[in-house]
Amino acid sequence: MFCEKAMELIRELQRSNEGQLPAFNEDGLRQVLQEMESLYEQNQTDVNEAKSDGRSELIPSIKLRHCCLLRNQRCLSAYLYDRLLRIRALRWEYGSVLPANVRFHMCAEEVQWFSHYKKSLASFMRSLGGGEGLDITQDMKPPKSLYIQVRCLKDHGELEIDDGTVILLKKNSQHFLPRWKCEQLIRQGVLEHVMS
Amino acid sequence: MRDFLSGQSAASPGWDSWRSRVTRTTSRRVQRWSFLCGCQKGLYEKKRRVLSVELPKVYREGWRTVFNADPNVVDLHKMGPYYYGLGSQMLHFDSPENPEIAQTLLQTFIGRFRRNMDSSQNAYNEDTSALVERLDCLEKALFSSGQSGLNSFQSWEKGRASQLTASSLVLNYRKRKINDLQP
Repeated sequence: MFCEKAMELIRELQRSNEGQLPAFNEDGLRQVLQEMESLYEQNQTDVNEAKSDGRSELIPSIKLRHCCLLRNQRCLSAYLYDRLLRIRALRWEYGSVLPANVRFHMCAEEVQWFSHYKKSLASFMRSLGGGEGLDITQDMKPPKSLYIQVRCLKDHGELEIDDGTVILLKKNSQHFLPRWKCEQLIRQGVLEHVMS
Repeated sequence: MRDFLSGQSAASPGWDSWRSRVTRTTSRRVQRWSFLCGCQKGLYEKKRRVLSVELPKVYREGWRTVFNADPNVVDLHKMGPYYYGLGSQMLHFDSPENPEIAQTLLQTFIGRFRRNMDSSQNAYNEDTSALVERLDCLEKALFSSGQSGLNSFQSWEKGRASQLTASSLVLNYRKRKINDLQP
């Protein structure tokens, strides 16, 4: 039946966990585009026949193929758009540098889109606060204190703070650090916020 | 993605049983086909009589009586995971039973809503599969937003609202990575 391949793409996205980006299904996409091409060609032949021979009984099948074409187009747009929304969320959760296993699941156009999005966001953030700039990816929850107690969940090497002090982030070590330095690392799961 | 699916009454694992049946009339013979709802809408024209649409049984008189009697007893997941979405789309096909179908859809939702809301707001930190298994997809979405509201409120009550946490996306990716590595 028509539009099955397109539905498969959508089902694939629905099956993946909330927010996760599955690998880009280039094969599936190509199959849907091929189906659309063949539907369109069949329709072209039928339209010419209907016009020249006056065969009006071809019209319902032309309409059916046209509906299937529109349906396939809509499914593909939804598939690509939903993936872009997930990629956009990754910028806010992971930061500007995505891990290799995530980038592996993106196609070349999506990688390009991501870097454009990063640039737009960065230039927007720089323009805030009267030209001074404001990092809006920080302080996603209202802060209660300037400094927080954190515990290291895995070895992450050295971290330099604004006053020049260098902290060694070794697994299970605890530190008292400025909030703005730790927020990104906590979100990435390197540090853990310890509430006293 | 969920909105797209319910809006067009499209894919789900149980979808194949939910394509509404269509009767194509020609001067020579009548053929019964099974189409996607969106394609039927494009083909359906009252004047030309190309297609007539057969209502799925869950929207017919028999089942409507059940829904009007007590909507809470019905397993809406089994009867079509997109009961409300597909029902709203079926209204497009000018059936003489449209007012009754619309009324039943509305009353079913109203009748079930209270119980779903209460269970989503009171099931804290426990297994909700028994509560969720008989719900339609729209109800499941409402249930999960109720649960997330409940969890946020509880964490605020415990003073954990200001605690910074790792992003759930990051944690899920890490779990997957470990699963990929394991043989």
